[in-house]
Amino acid sequence: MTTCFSKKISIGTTGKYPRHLIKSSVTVFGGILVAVILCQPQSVQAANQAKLDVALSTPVILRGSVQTAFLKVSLTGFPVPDARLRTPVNVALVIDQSGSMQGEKMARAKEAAMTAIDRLGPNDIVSVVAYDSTVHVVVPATKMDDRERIHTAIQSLYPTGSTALFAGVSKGAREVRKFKSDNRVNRIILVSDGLANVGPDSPEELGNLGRALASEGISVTTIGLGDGYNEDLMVALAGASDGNHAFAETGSDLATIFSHEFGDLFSVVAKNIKFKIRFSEHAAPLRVLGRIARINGQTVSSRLTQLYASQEKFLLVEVKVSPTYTVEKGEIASVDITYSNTVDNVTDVLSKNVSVTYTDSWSTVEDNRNDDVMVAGIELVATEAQKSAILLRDQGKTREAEAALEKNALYLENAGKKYKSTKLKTRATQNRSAKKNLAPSQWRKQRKMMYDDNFALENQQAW
Amino acid sequence: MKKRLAIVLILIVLLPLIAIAILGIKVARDDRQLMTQQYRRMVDSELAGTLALIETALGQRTRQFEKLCSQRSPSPNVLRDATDAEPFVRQFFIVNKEGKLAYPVNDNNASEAEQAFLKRTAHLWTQRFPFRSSNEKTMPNTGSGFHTYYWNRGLQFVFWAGHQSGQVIGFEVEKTMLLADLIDVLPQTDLQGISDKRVRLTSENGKTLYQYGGFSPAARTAPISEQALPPPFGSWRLQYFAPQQLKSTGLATSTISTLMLIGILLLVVLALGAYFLLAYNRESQLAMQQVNFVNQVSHELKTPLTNIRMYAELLADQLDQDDDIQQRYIRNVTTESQRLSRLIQNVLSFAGSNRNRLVLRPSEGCLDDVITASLAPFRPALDRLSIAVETDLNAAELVIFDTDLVGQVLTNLISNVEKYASSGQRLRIQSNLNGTHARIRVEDNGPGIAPHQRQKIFLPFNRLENQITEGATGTGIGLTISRSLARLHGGDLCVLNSTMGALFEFQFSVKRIMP
Repeated sequence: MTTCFSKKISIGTTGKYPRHLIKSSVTVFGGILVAVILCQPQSVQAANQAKLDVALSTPVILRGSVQTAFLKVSLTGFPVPDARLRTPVNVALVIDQSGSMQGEKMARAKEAAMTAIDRLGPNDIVSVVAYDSTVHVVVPATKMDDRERIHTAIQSLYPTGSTALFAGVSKGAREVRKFKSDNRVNRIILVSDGLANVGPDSPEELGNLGRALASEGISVTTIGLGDGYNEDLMVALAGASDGNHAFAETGSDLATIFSHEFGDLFSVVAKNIKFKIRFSEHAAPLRVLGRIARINGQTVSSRLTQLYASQEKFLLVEVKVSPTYTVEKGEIASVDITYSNTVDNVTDVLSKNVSVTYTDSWSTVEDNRNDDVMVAGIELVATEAQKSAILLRDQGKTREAEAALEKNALYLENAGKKYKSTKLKTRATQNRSAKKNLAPSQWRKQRKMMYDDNFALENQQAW
Repeated sequence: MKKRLAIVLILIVLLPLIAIAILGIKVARDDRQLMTQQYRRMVDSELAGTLALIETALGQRTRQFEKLCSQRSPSPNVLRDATDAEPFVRQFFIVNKEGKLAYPVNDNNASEAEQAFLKRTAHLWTQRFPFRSSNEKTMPNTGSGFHTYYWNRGLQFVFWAGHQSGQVIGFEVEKTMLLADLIDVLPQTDLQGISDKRVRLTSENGKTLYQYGGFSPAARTAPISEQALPPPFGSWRLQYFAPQQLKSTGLATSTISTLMLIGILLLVVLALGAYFLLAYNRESQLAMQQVNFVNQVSHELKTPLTNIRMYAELLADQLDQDDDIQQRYIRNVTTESQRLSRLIQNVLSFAGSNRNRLVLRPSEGCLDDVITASLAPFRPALDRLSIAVETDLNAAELVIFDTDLVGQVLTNLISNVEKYASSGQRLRIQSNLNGTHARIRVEDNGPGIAPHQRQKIFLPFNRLENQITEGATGTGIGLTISRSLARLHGGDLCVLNSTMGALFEFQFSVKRIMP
């Protein structure tokens, strides 16, 4: 059972959210929140406010036994009331022009970049940075006033040399900082087809950079092109900075990816979102699935760099609920969220409490089960299992990896049946097909596809 | 003679050539050295400028870091949230008044990140008061600064600052942001720029952290210049690379001008040498032609003269022995033709450039007789020119010498007086015999010979070019031959100082007749 105390609160109208790549279905989850008691203070709901939903996978649990449950704290962006009022963007395109980009890749990258830039309006800021063995600030941060000049500059890119990825992102960040503002969406879009080989090159270092940039309010979207890039590094950078990530198998995929990316960019409604979940003595957080978060005892903190219109982003915490005999119902956590509303230029604060009801009847537990949260939890748990399988394959233990993937597929299949989730069934199929692509010839591409899928799932990337 | 001249010529040309070449090389080397030095200075100052920029940025960053620490309250919860908000902070920490780590500690509240931090930095907390500023002696936990250490094969940075509470608040610096900060300060590579250099920022293990400049040095090239970054980046370096040729572009112009100058000098010297050689060749060719001409003429003369002599001798036999006049005339014809044939013989010998073939034919004779005999044929001409002949002959003794040779020299000297000194109207011949040393002086009152010409006149074909020789005929080898003959006879022929005209002294050695 969820109760809410809130200073401001958004009402859960049935919200649709687009799913990523496979997106076989559109999940309607409003319905299962019927059980949620919604408090609506005073009279009017603020129209331009994100919707906070807090739900437990098993809001009713068996008395007297230790149980784990998933707590899902989700935030859904409100629709942009007027497209003309969208938050201006401050974007740096960081383009790999190392030797391997030669030919089709470079041509498509240029086209995609130019098309994307053409969508920018007069209030937007753009910069273009290219890197090979060194970095070239091709277009220093500028207002979108001289399209021709920017096009010419992009056309001048010429692939040669090595891959100074870290330096490219650093200089991109520098350009973004010139016009960095709370009223702009500050973003670096990195397109690379290669391994970083000049400067820092480990996923850890790039992840650290991403995390630091996120602290500054800059997120990095990474687009991996072809099958030669380092997906660990690209995913670490995007994940830590709360950007997007995409795998473009060929140059021709770039146009669509850029279109999605700019779609997200143009729909930012909130920035600098901070989650704080405080658990009561009735429960303890075990781990946060899929996202970077901090658990300090009974407190879980996390953040998002931005929230897009009508998109749901959530934090999924696995919790241990204590057994109790004394109470019928106990509050297990309070959730506080603050963010900058970039449409109304105010800081919004949202709060909700979540509690659990104890019962002696197993059927009551089953009846009250929140399948949406359950499925989300299982998806992420299965993703962790898939990552372990990837690790096994990386270590050359192909057979073990195969077994792990098969086990994961079975787990997903069973869960899919139990919770009647096509999503889980699709994931099971994916794990099965991944199993067939462990041979060296397919593995590079397969690995990138899995990283791409997992990233989208963990970060609720809508495309 | 010709060989010596060639050597002189070669020396004249070669010595300056060598001197100029050495000079040129030295100038070029000095130039290059100077330019290399200047270039190095330029590179060093460029790097120094870049380092100054880094230092300024670092100074600003340090002040910001101090604020980050001093303006927070030393509470774990505050610092936890601050860690999320500060890009340069990876993990805050607190060292308490006792000098021990107070946050984070490995308790139930420690996050995974905090636990990882404790693991990374475990060595720091084994001692109390791990951070001390250099000027802090008595008061622990005051001051501020960077502290660096190695972890996981990489340089790590910690910043700490004494807090007003008496504790230390510090943080593990996000290394990637520190590097991004340096990259912010360092330039980018201009796409349209000249590819003239490459500057590299290298890490403690020599890995490239960042680089700029369009030039790509080959692997393992040593940098032209290298400077260490200021602390805390002490083991990081800025390396400057540039193409090898570039080192000398600065001096190309000066070297080229120096080389051009040297080249011009060389050409001038060569041209001079060539001119001298040509002039010399032309002159010697001219002389050769003259010699050849004289040679040919002499040859032509030889046969008719022989006939003349033969017929003159035949005629002498046929003539009336008692007719003195006839006999005298025919004798003159005979002697003169003999003299002429000797003369021709000498000319031919000389022209054959083998004067050594002249051999002495010593015979018994009286020197004064030879003088008188030599004068005799000139008497009519001398009379006609009103040249008074004075003789002071003191060598009547019979000795052994080449009478023909001495006669020839005398004839030449007398004929010179006749030809060139008739204006003096005086000819004085004096002879002396002192033991084996004979001396004959021929003196006139003519125009004389200027001292600077006294050697020249003995050179072949060196007729004095002035009014003396004007209108007079001569081969130009008379004195040359005479001197050669004199020297052949163990003596010499020279010009002596004289107040009146020319004074020739002919010395030679004679042999006494054994008693």
